[in-house]
Amino acid sequence: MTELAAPFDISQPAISKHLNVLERAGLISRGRDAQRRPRRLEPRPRRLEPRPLAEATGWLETYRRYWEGNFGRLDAVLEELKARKKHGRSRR
Amino acid sequence: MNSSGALKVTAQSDREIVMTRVFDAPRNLVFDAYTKPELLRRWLGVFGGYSMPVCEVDLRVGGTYRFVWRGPDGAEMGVRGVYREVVRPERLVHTEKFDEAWYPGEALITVLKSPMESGVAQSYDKLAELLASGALEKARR
Repeated sequence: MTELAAPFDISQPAISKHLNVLERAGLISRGRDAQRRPRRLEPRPRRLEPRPLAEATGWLETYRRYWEGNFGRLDAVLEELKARKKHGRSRR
Repeated sequence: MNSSGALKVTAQSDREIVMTRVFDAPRNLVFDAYTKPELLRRWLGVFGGYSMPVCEVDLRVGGTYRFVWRGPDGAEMGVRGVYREVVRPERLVHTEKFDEAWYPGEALITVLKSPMESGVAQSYDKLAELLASGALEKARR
């Protein structure tokens, strides 16, 4: 954790708090291997859990693509509406 | 068409997605495209053989809308919702619930159309979707 805290200009308890939030969200886990060590002296190492994050970004990406398609078609509709407006006599 | 900006999608919080997109058109035309059935069924979800045989809009606060898409294999997907705010041309707020919803509660969609600072012909569209949030629904009451 000292290692994790090094690049940040915040206290170790603050880092610990952030880690707990990430852990609750399932984005990191604590290693089991460290259980044999005295816990007080050395907290169990954290491990990144990439899968939930990948799931979330994958979902967002699908969503983004769907809407990109929609907005591409919407652009075409808008172009047509603008042209109609410009040429005055618009059909309903 | 390429004068329009790229779509930006961000997860604002656990239950909120913000999409930002620039359109090269006056706001009232964008508003029309979002609210007139004959325009909606030309762009919303109509791709890959899907069309929108049902597109009904009762555009007033408390009014409902009903969209049904039909795929090439005949499969249908429907969605309905209620308009909560209708302020032409800058603001449209409505609920959204799919017939076979894969989530609890309902989504709340806010479409904001802000004019760009440069260029009168441009407007930008921001769509925030508050997903399936019982808490948010309660907060509104």
